[in-house]
Amino acid sequence: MQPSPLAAVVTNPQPRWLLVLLLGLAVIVYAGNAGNDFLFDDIPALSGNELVQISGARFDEWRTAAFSSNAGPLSRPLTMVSFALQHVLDGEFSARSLKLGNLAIHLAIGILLFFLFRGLLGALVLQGRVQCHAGWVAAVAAGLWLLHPLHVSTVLYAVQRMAQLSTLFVVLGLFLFVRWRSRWAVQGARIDEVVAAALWLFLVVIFAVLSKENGALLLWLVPAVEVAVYRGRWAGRRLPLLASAGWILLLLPLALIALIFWLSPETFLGGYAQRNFTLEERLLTQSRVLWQYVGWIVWPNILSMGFQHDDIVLSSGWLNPLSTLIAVLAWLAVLALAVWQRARWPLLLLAVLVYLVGHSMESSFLALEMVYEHRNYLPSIGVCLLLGFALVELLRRLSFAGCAAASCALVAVFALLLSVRSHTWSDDLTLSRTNVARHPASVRSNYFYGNALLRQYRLRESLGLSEKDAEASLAVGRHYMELMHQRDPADIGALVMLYYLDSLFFPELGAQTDWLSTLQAALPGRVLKASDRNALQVLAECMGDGKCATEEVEVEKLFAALGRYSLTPSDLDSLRYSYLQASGAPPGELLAVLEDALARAPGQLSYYPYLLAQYSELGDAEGLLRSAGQWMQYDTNRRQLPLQRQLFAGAKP
Amino acid sequence: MSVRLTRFCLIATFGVLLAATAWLYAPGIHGPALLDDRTSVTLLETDVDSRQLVEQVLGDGSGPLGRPVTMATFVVERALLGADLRWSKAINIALHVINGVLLAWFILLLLRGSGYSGSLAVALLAAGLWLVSPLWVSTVLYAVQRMAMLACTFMLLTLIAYLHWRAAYVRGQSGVWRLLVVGGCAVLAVFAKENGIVVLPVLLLLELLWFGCRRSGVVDRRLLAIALGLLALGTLFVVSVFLVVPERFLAHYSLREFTLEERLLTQGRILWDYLGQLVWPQTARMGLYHDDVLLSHSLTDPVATLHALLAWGGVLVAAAVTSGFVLGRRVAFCILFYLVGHSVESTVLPLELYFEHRNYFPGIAVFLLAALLLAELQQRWRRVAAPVMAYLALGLVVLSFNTSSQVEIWSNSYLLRFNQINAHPTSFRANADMAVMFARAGSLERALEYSARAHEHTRERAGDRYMRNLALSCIAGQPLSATQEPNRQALVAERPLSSVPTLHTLVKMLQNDECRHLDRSALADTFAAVYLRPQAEATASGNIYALLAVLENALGRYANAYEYTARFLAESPQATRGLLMQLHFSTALGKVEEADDLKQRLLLLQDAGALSVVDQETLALYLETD
Repeated sequence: MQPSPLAAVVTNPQPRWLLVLLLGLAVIVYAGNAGNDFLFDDIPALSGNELVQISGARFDEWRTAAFSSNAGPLSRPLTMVSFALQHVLDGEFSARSLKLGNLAIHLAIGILLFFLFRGLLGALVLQGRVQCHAGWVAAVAAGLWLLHPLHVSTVLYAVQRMAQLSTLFVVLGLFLFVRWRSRWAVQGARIDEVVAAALWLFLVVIFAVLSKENGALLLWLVPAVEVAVYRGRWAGRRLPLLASAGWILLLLPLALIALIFWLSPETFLGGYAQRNFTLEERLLTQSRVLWQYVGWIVWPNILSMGFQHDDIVLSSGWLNPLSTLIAVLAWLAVLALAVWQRARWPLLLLAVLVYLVGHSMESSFLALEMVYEHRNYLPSIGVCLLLGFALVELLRRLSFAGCAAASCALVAVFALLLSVRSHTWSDDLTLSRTNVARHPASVRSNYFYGNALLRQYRLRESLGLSEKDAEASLAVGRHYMELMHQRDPADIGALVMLYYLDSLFFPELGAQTDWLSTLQAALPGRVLKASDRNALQVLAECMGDGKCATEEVEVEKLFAALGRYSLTPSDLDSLRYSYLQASGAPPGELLAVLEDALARAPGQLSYYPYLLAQYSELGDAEGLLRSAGQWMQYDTNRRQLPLQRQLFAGAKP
Repeated sequence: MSVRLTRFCLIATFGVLLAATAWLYAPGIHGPALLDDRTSVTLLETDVDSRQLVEQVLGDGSGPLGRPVTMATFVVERALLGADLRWSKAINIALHVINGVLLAWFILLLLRGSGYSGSLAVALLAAGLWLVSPLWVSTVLYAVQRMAMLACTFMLLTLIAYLHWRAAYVRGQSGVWRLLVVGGCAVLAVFAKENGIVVLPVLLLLELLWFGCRRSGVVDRRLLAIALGLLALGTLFVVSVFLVVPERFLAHYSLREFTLEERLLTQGRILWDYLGQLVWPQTARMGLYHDDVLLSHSLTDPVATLHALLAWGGVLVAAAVTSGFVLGRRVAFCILFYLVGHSVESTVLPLELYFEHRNYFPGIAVFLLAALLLAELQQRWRRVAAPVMAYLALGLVVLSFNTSSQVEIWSNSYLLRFNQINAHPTSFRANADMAVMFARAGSLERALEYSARAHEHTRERAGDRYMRNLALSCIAGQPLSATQEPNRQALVAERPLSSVPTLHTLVKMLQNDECRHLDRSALADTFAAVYLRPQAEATASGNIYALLAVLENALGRYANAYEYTARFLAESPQATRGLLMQLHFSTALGKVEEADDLKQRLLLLQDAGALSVVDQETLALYLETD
């Protein structure tokens, strides 16, 4: 008797239709909420980055676009080229188009994950260590990852394509490894095959690293998969030497990190000078953060997700807060359990290792900020596989109707959560408002929302706001800056913005508080954040153009305090230049500031265009030529060559 | 994928690479005229008759044979497209792309003829890597270096024709006409640029080392005897020439700042440096000016000289030791290809020490070696060859990026000058260029600083620096200060001036009266006091005298001009330029007999075909006045 079409679909061991369905769902939800706003870091990296906005007509534009990012030590050239390509194709940067590009990468990773999971499960089924329908589990696990609302902050945040492409190549590398290794586990392989595979894998690592530096983790994830899944199996038998090699390779990076700490601690510790926490505090806090991430993956509570998580409590000791100790002990217990039960529950060990290794770069000893959701984009794949397996096992125990109903409900819930969260990310005002609503204690959330409202006020005419609505935006914006100040009275950004706003719009409020003195008093011992620096820049311009009427002596006192406590001489020069330029100072005075700055830091390339502009205004050809030569001398990688070329375009010496 | 489809995909990809190469080089066409461009290319007239065209083709003085094949391309190009240097550079780019195709063809024939399978991908990849190497920017975008490029084109054609002849020979055909093509291409290579001659020893080494003179697996004794005989004969000829008339090749060392021994020692290091730039390019220090290269005075000064020579010795010994194996012999061929390719310009001849364009043909050896090793890998470890090729393809992208940035630098004369001075702060030429640039910007003070730095890094005479400073002051339109050193006292010396280009620039400006603040007569008086007064001991080269004569002529002081020309003719009695100048001055001074005598001498030279069309027209003016 022929099976019914429905039965054929359900018993299909390769349910690609399910994957296609889930992919389609992801497309509908994400594309519908892509929005057209650039968010936060998109602006310096993309819409404010002249070098990546190319026409594509000159070959060298692609090179300079590739290396135009300041992010990471390698500048993430592959990702930047993908942005440049979209700029060429679209003729301009469109946030929506970029986000749709991100969506395409997300879908590609989802497809690769399906094949990776199927390969992993197939290998485990073959070894008799797991009993399951590999295709179903793979499709469900890939679907969980695809529709997970935690990844919205990666997919709908254009600049996070860096994390996406890196993940794409890491997953590709793992897929290739699993494909080859599964065959070798059964048939063995010749040495040339192994060498070729290693070379291909290393090539994928290069592509991953050129997308974002944590792509190097592929080299660590491979032994993690070896230890959890293959355990030294080769040509149908277990080779203890190979099994040991897997463990050694898994532990080797830890030894390397320890060695670097021992030989050159500054390599890792140097960055902490720019942070408000120590290495110890970060490590302790991360043990809790990692559980928080697991919580989000397993139970996607979108109400606690958000962009800024600076409201997280720092762990300043094992018992402060107590959850730190519990978190650390829990990690040790999970790790011990996973290793102990690795033969019975290989997927648990795989999930734990992939998760921890995946987080090892951004959530451990490096002096990065504490919490970002996009850091889970890669590490979550192991957990999703484990969840997918558990889910399918659970559903198998239900009747057909129950299974179908539960499956539909699950998909609907995930689609709904994804939809709500994606909608939140569709424009910057909604996102900022949601952030502050969910993280009212987050200083940064308050700042960003306040800033978004002030931007709305500035753009009131182009947005078509009524006078009343515009003024409401301004007042509410100030209110959130004040809230920010209340949360952290020493926050520099808040004080600066309040002084700025009160000087400009609310003089009667400004008369009540001496923000400038408060600001100066707050500076000692305070490490400035990027938002603080932006705020200071705004303030310098405001004081310069006279809108924030400030006595010159007060300005000098502020600059002196900033120079003493907060800013490097070079940063202070930049601020002073902004102030003088806004105040309409003569070119000679501006030149003196820039020349001083460059005498201190001749490699500060961003100053040269201003210097040349000033010489050009003065008609000082000698100064112009001398500065151009110096600019080229310090631009050793020729990253600003298009700007230098424009300077001399058409000129004949 | 079927074999045919794979082949189509590979060729299509190579086509895209060729187009990309042209694209990445395209901005470079806007670059400036450089050094010899000004004497061999931009001076060529466009509005000329057929006789003058022929004369331009045959009249270049860059090498002993006049490089007529290359000059013909410049002459035709300018006749058809006009005097726009951008066309010259665009044609060079096209020629570079063609050379890439020829190289792929050569490597493919060589590998296929040696029994390597799947060699198309290897050949295209190796040729692609060669095409985008940043070391060629200073060849492709330096218009006059079409000479090196066209010579390379014909050398590659020679090698390709030889491989076709060889294939026919192995099949038992005589292939005489193919041999004629080989010879024809070699001749064209030599007439494109004289170092095209190196293709002959390369070809013999190819037969001896790569093919082992084998035909169907057996050594062909006749072929072996011919190859060895020709190689020995060629070596004997070169050695004999150097022994019999060494002065013909070595006399010019008197004009250089180094001796023969120093040149040979230095080249040992430079040849390694070229290799380094091919394998792991440091684009920042690439460029036209390498006159700051550290001279090797002895084996241990600097000690890198000894290391370099020992390393070359080691390489040659290793090549000799491994030549018992087929692969070893082929590797040895690649090494010798590189060294023999450099044998004309990087050994005994008193040429300048370092130029990147000298690698355009010899550099092929590096990529051929890569192709050989890749083909071997493909033969033995096919699986491993595929990812290695992928890495090389990635390397190709990296090289393209290096090349594109270098092209951008070469597309603008300001960027080029800054790049040169930043990479070579002790280069005389780079500093002199900067001096001119600042003078043109009106900053004489800065210009003089660079002039002083230029002087520090060369053995030029104080008088030359004084001339340059005068020229800079003219360019800047500002007089030199009274306290500026050096001053006219610098001309009080046994041989005060040696730099013809500097004096030429100054005289040209004085002639055109572009130097209002400078008293031309007073300066000419100073020169006359130095060179012409009865007890003057100062001497100069003929060209310096000729230039001073031009200056005196511009001032209408024919007696002095006559004296300078007489000194010029004393050094070069048959110089038509000197004879014509002297004819002019004799006539102006009423020296009728001497003028008649000069006319007779010039007519004899005209009959002997030694006068150019312009010279003949000038002479005709004087004959008409009789």
